[in-house]
Amino acid sequence: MKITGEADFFIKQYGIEEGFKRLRQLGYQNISYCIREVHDDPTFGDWSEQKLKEHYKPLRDTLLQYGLQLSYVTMDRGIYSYAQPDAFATRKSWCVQAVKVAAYLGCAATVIRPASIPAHCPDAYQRSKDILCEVLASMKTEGDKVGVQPVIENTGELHIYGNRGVELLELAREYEIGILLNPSMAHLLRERIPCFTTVGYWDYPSGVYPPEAKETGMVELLKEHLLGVLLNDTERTMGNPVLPMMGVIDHREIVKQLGEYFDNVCLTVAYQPIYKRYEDFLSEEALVNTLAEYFYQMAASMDKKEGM
Amino acid sequence: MKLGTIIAFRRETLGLSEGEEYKFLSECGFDSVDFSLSEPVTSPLWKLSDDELRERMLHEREMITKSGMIVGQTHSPYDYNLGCAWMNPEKRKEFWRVQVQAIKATSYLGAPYMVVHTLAIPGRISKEYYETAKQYNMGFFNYLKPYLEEYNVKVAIENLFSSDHVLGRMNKCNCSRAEDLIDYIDTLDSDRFVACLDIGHAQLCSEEPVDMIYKLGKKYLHVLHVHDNHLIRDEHMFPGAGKGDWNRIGRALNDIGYEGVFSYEISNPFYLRFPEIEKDMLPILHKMYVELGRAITGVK
Repeated sequence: MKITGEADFFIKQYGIEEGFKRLRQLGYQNISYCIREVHDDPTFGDWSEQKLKEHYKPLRDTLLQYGLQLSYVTMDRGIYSYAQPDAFATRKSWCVQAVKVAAYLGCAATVIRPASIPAHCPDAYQRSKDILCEVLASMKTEGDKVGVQPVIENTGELHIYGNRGVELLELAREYEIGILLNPSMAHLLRERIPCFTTVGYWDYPSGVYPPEAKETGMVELLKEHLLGVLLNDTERTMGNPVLPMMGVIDHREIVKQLGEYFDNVCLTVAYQPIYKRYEDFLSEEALVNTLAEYFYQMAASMDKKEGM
Repeated sequence: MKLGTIIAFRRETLGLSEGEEYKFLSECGFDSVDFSLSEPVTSPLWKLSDDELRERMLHEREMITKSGMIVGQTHSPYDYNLGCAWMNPEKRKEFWRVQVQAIKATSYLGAPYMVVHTLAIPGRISKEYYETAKQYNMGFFNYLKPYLEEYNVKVAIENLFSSDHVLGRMNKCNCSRAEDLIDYIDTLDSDRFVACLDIGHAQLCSEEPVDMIYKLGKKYLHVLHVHDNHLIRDEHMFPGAGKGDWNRIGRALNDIGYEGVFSYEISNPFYLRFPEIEKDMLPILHKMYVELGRAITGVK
């Protein structure tokens, strides 16, 4: 089982060199990287191969220097903008370019999220499906050339195609995609994911739950296609992020359901929302390091299968 | 500002022998222990003779001191069956006796403060309710006064909440606001009574903790119970896990010149729920609490 750390926060706080050094010191051997270059240069999708390599060489060299592997690359911007529908071709080109970036950095997966369209739009569901399939088809064409798999991370929008378990399964079979499972988002959609939703901790403080309380569903359905699972959590009512194990998601049950597939799945410590919560205090390095250590320890504890 | 905590884990979980739980907390970075005396009235602790109680508490004090920590505060037994002391004179008598024993225990531990819940009476909030409850509580606290003088202990009155079955949510009770705490303390007119601000309870009552800190000021605010929640249940989570505005809370405490302990009252998120990883996670969890506390209070 790979423990993957989100590198973005550390890169933003400390720069690539120092950020990667700290991640390595904290025990992380695998990280994820978020492509933010599209913020600075919307023509990112048109970069030549040479420019791409020149730009990412320092990153690649630093990864090698600190012995870090990239579990996957993600896109920071959505695959579609409702406010700027004419920019769809540009955004699609970003996704294809992200596949090439992943290949250059020695990474086998590029993660995107389903298209986001406002709920008031009457054909939002069909439009989001068409957009997502078009992007995936383009990514797959490029990915097949360079050995990079497109991956979808589910979000919490009810009216959007590509967030439900059955939809992800459909996409996995058609486009041979991987799935990065976001349990907190799945929980928001009331997908059947192991969690303490139907019976909360306060209902059964002894920790002994009746069998019907433990729902299976999404993990069981998708485990053959899973690239990774986000180690994130949410509290019961409003969907606000909390530290793993302190909310409703039953990660222990997720691991159990993964069974033999667990060793192949990367467990990503998704601490970005938590760091946002503490941003007033994040000048305190000791706190930053301790939080990252907490996340790593939490993920490492999931690797213990005995007793689970 | 010192950092303190309750002990929310069983030492056996960490394979510690007697007294080592204090060393564990001290090594994590804590300075103070909130020693719980919140045993039910029927507990064997309250059947001990004065000498036995003293011996037991001195033993605990020795272990805590050896670890390098102090006992910043204790917590007296509270009325587990809310209102039963009010309704039953015999039970009331026994409950008040136990409070006196708790004062003695606090003194033997060397703790300056004992946190006490105000006594509950059945009913919903009204002017008449407040008056009746206040009168009842004044009788109770005045009963404790001579023992507080004798044993050199101060009572820190804690703000509470109630479960409002009509509204279907948590609500204020007879002593939830800063004004209530100040009113009680001023009426008692003795330096033996101070305020304990329970931040989580304030949130449940829709009272802004920052405002309460400024209203109580250094004069009244001597003790803290630090925890967080999502404004619905009394979850006792660590700061940041819920809805508390911890940046402003830290600033307010520094602004008023708070000199007490920043003392956590956080429940163990792994206990019973994830026992197989509890042992591995407790050390890093407590380390995180310390760093968070230092960041909030600006203490290095």
